[in-house]
Amino acid sequence: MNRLRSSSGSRVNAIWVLTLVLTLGSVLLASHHNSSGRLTTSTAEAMAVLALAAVKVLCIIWNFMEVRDAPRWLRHWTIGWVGGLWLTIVVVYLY
Amino acid sequence: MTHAQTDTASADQPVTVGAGREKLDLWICWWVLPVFYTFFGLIFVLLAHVMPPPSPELSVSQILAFFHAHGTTIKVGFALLMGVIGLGSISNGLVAYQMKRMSVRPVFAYGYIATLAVGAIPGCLFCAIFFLVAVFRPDRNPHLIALSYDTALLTFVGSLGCFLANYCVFTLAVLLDKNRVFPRWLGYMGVWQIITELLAAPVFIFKKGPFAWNGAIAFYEGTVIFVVFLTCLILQVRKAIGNQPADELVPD
Amino acid sequence: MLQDVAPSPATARAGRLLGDLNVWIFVLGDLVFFGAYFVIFMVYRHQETAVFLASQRHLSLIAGALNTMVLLTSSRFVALAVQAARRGESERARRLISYGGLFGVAFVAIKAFEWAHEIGHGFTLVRNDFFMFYFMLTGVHLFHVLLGLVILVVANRELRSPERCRSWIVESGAAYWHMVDLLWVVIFALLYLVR
Repeated sequence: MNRLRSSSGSRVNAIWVLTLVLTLGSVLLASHHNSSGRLTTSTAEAMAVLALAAVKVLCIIWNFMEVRDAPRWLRHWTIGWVGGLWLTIVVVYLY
Repeated sequence: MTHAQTDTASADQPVTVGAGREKLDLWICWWVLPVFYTFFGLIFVLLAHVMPPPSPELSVSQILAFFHAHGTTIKVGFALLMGVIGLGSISNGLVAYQMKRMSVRPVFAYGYIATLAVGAIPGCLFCAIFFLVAVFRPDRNPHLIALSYDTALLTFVGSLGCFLANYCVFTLAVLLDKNRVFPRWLGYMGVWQIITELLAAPVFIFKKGPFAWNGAIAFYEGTVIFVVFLTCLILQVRKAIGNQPADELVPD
Repeated sequence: MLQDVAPSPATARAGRLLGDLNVWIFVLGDLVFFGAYFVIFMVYRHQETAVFLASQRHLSLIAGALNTMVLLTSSRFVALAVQAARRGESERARRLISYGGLFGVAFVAIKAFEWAHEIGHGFTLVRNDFFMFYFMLTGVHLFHVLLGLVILVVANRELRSPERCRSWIVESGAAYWHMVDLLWVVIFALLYLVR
């Protein structure tokens, strides 16, 4: 029986826990900013939140969607999508 | 070969040119597709200035100015549309005919024709007629001209219900079809179309922003996605005709 | 029985797709289109930052976070279901897909409560540009979730008869569901978290 690299129950569970932790982390970041009371943007916090989101998205793509084991074109394409989108979002945010 | 690989593989079979004479009727009908949509693009984009649409925020005097500036090309373009609109029916008939070759019952083919026949009225003809009415008598009450403007553009972008139903019918038929007349990915693309129709629903609410009838999302992105889908559909109909045995008996 | 065909070294290098090329055409396109929606959102946010910042505070971080974790959990179940299906454990796979679907239903329920709460407080689609985007983006995403639930039911049914099970349906459904999950992760970050 062939096991794909991404195809193991323990890996799925580990990734799942990681994404939950990253979610909680970004929520804590956001609510901390909330409680400071100021209605301002926070570049550092926004970049952190976006970075954590990127990691979560890559976890889902790489592991749940098994792109780890996918043909090279798909691996490049998905990383390109994440990179291109995040770059655009950051540029617009910082403009 | 897995089932899935066969599916996309069958869509890549070469089109046999030699056998084309027995399917001359189908090829004539196929050519109507690119010809009609070329006319459509020429008319709506270059002549009538409906694509991209002018803003919902124009004042009455600005609307009058728009019709004054483009009156001649609107008349020429939409008069031409009245002449070629019938070609659209042939296009739809051809796709529906291919749908009758599917393993699903012809209900879907009938639904395809019906939804587009109904959809063509608000989705295409209302715009043409109301624009033509607007430029017919330039000295008419300006508010009536502005009403024509709103009616034309709201129906053009907002007539999403018919097309939504059309894409549902098409998608379901392609995905249920065991004869693989069209590849599954074309059916999945129908879901994109359904989504763009849903995103066009707010044009009745917003006069500016991405969900207005000239909005980045409701119009521009929706149009881009539509052009992608239409191109794929036209090419896949061509493949389907090519793959179709010349002596195939299609159920009535 | 769903079986992995033992890949030759060449195939192993070439890689395999979860599902098939058809569903990935859909997924990649959807990712591009949503990417464009996200960029458009950011552009409008840039133009009206104050309004967006103020409005964002009215969103429930708890509901958003809960929804994110619910969807991540449902994805976990679906990923485990695919593995079970590949091993031929159809009954287990069906159970796992059902759990995934249940969490999907939970997402819809939480979203409904959230919307009801916001609308009840006067934050509607027409309140301002932020809420316009909020309802439209989460609405279009919700449509994806509802469609996904139908797809999960189809996948579940497919596993009922292991001998005739078409693996591409189960795997394609999984690929779609994970896409829905990852889109929400981005929506959550942009709408709820990014200040």
